Amino acid sequence: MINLANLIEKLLKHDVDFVIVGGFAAVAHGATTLTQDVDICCDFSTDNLLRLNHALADIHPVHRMTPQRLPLALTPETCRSLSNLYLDTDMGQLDCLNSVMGVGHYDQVRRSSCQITLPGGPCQVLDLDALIESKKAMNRPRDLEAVLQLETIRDRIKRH
Amino acid sequence: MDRPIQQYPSNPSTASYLLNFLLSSPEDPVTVSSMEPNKTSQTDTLLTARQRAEQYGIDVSLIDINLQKTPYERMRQHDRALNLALQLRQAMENRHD
Repeated sequence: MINLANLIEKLLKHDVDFVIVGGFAAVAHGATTLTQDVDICCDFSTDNLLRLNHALADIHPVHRMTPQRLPLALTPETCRSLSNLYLDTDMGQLDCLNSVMGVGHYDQVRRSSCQITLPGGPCQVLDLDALIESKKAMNRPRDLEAVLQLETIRDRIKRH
Repeated sequence: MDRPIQQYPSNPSTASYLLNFLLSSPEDPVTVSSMEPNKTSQTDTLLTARQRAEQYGIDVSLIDINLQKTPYERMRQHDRALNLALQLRQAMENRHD
């Protein structure tokens, strides 16, 4: 059973430093899209990645891009060589990125985020302006539609 | 500085998610109303964002409904719709086996 919301909650519970980006951020803002994974931009420091590994431990994370689907088993040494992680878990797919196209690296992404309240506590989500910029930068056909939706949401919020 | 996402008062509908989802490939995210999008023209700069979205074929009323929910409610609704869609897709695949 896919449960992307609970996957996010797990990360919050274990104090992983991250920002929700991509399609699931668009969902949080009100877009009507469906996405099959959660994209997060996160701090790729060793401490944060080890917290991430610990957070996911009981939902069987594997590297989904490797043919053998190797289990996620980070060590301080392996953490230093990582720039992105593409994972599959019992709760759904999780992509961990160190930067977002059109926005920048994690520090800039964090500065371009807003806070939402989830049952597990406050959570950072890429803000509407930055999300629109990232979708424009990606420039895939499906991103055009996402941009139209997000711009509609932004206009609606400005009017209220 | 953390800023809150704006929230509105509430209510739902996920059925239209499903139709488009079932018609899409597994890799592609889908939207509720994009089966036959009318591409926006290059001369639409005077249109509002809402008008551009409507012209493209997006059902903006579904966005209005989403904006009445909290971000967490939107996430949960998304997950329910996704799971239902995956179940329906699996049922269709089994039917053709």
